[in-house]
Amino acid sequence: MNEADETLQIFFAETDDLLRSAEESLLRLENDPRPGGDVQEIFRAIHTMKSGSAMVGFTKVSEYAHLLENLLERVRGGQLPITKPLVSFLLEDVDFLRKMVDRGGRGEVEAEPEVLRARKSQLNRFLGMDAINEPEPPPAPKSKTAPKKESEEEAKKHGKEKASALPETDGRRYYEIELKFRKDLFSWGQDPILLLLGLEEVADIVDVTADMSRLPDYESYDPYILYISWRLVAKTRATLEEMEDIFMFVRDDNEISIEDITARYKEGVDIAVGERPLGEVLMERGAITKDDLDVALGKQKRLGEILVEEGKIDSSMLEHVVGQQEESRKTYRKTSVRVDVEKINHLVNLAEEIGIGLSRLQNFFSHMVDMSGTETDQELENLLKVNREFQERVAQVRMFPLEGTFRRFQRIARDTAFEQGKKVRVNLVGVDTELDKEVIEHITDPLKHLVRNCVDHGIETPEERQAAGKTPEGLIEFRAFQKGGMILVRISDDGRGLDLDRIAEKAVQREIIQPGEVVDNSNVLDIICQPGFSTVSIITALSGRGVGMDVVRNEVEQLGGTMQIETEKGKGTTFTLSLPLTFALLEALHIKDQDRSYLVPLWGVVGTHKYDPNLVKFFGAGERLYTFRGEYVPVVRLSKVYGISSPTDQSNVGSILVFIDTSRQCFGLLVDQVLDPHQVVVKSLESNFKSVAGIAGATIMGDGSVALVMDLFALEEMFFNRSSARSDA
Amino acid sequence: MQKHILVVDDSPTIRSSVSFCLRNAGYEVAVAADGQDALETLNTMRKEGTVPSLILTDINMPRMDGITFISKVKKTEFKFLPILVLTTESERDMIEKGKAAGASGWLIKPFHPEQLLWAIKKLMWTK
Repeated sequence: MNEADETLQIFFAETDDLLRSAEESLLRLENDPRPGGDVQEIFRAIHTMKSGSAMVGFTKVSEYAHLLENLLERVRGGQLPITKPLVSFLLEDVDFLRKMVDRGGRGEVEAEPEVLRARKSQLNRFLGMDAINEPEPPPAPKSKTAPKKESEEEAKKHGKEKASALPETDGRRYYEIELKFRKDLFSWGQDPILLLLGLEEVADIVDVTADMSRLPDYESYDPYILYISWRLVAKTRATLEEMEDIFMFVRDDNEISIEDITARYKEGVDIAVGERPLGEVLMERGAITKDDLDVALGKQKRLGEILVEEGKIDSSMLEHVVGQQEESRKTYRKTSVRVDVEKINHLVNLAEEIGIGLSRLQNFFSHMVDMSGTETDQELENLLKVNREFQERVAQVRMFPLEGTFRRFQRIARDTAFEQGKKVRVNLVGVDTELDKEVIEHITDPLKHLVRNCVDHGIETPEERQAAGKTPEGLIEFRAFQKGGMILVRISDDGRGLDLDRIAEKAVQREIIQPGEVVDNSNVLDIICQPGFSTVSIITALSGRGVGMDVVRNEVEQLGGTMQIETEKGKGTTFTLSLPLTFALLEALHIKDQDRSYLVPLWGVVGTHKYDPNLVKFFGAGERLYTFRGEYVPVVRLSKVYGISSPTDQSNVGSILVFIDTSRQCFGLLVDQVLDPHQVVVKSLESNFKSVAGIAGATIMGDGSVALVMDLFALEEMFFNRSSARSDA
Repeated sequence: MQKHILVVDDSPTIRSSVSFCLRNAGYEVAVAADGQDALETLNTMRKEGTVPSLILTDINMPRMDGITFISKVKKTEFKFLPILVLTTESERDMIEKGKAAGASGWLIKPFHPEQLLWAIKKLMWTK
């Protein structure tokens, strides 16, 4: 007998005992109808049975016992007189419960629904209620969430209302949690660290401040007293209700507050903090008192005063510059405003909508012969032009200079060098170069990584450098400039360069290249960007920081950018990132296949070719290789890659090849038609639809049709991983 | 080392099902049928060196009820032990009484094994 069966056997035995004792008490009550010990005994029996039966899954028994408990509660309280009919009803109930348990034990239904219903309505009559108003059955056990029913529902309602009023950030929300525990928390058997660990399981803790101002001197310190309180910011997909559940046992007796602060938290930073004085923030977090602040403020001198006192400047100079500053601020206030980036995105979208509308109008007019070339047509043409410029202008608002980002890297480079006893000078060139805010955000981490890499492995120690005849101080340069439609960001150092021989050695070991194959600037990036390669302890290893070069390159490519490397032994290494100016607008080639419109990001298109069967070579299991610019390139029908079944009419399908080069792989897609290049605003499909492999988003074309924007990297994966897609193209 | 948990409930069914769930989750379980029994068990456990890391106790029990039991534990060296009160929907007021006596948390019967382990995790180092 296993333990679960054993529990069941114990339950049967217990039920037997309980019901027998209830029966005996009832019989005594029949002779001596007084509330007292016997009623209490019956109550306890039924009450115990209620919990037990629910625990072993006899829900109907539990449900009925619950109703019976209500009735007995009233008998016990004297609200219901002990009458003969009541006692005989209760005796019947004992039999009824026993029968239900017996039936359940035989694997049958505990009670037929109509029998149970009839019994319940009889019981309700004793309670003075009609059958319709029967009290709620006990709650069925819910998985995981807290058993506290009403407050849970309240919290849920509360949380939902709050959530809908605020903007979403990739489904994750920020909560500010203040934990001020009672001093004697430990003697309640509670431990704050368990709560913090519990919190960590459902949320990323973004910020923690421990307030230790209540910590006493060592002599008066009592280890059984909790002196510390905390303020945390957590980022999570959990709801407010789920967050509150973590603190369920301590919530009522301690000062615990959880506030959804998603609205004022952007990119992991509390934007409200930046706008308030330091003293105020410190005070709010309990680090200082109002008095502390006032005293400190009283001591504080203005920079100008200090400089004047020290004789560095005279007071007329100070007044002059302060005056200029005020003038400047006044003008600044007049000429610039701070705008939430969301508002700008909205404008970009609207501009796109107008563009779509205009294109559709134009399309409509072009079908009316007598309208073409008329004034209306010209006006429309004009409007389209204006709108195109409008779109570009709005997109420009999202552009920010790279200066701030570069300055951070300067700092990182210096700090990293300092830690390692190295010396570096950092040069910034082209800090005014502007990039889309979103692009900047996405490249910050990869760049940070490259910077650390430069210092860690590129720059030598001062001694090594001197021995090599270099200046003791290493040089790192950040340079940004525009070239065509791309922004180039270049990080170069004058360090030791990559050790190509060792990379070759490792690459052979890991079977990335053949023995004897040369590693040089043309292929070294591909090698070090192999997943996991950079974690091998060679010069490109990324100092155990958990990010490999593959991650860096992926991030850049996700943005529609590319990456290059140039390295020379003893002279240094240069990484160049080519990035699109903006996210908002995408240059894309409009193609049609089986009456579906697609947009291919133009950066990936290397050429189009009319399909010529003479240039095709069949290979392996029906794979097709096409001679394109002197090389064999695999080709496949686009519909095949996306897994769309072919139409029955094959007369005019697959006449043009579009060649894609993702800088990793080159492949050709056979499509029906190639139309004009377009500039489009990409809208992610995911807010309305499930994420679709190989599709980055969608846009509406001039003729009103929806065009799907291809995700070339995903497409590449699908192309090369699904060999079945290639065969029988 | 395995953690010990003391389960106090007058219902054998509850004792059995809770023990089953706890043993499955890798705990050593000791049981007691009421408060008086539990105090004696605690004493034995101390002598055996198998001091529990947590106590689960019912409220409504003969001989010594859960509230009295908690108050007594709080006067011993076991005062820092987390105590989970097992109660029912109709005895919600017992949560407050239990907390006042020094209980760390509560569970409403019937509960799902997951809920039990979830509550334990809040009060006891589980690793």
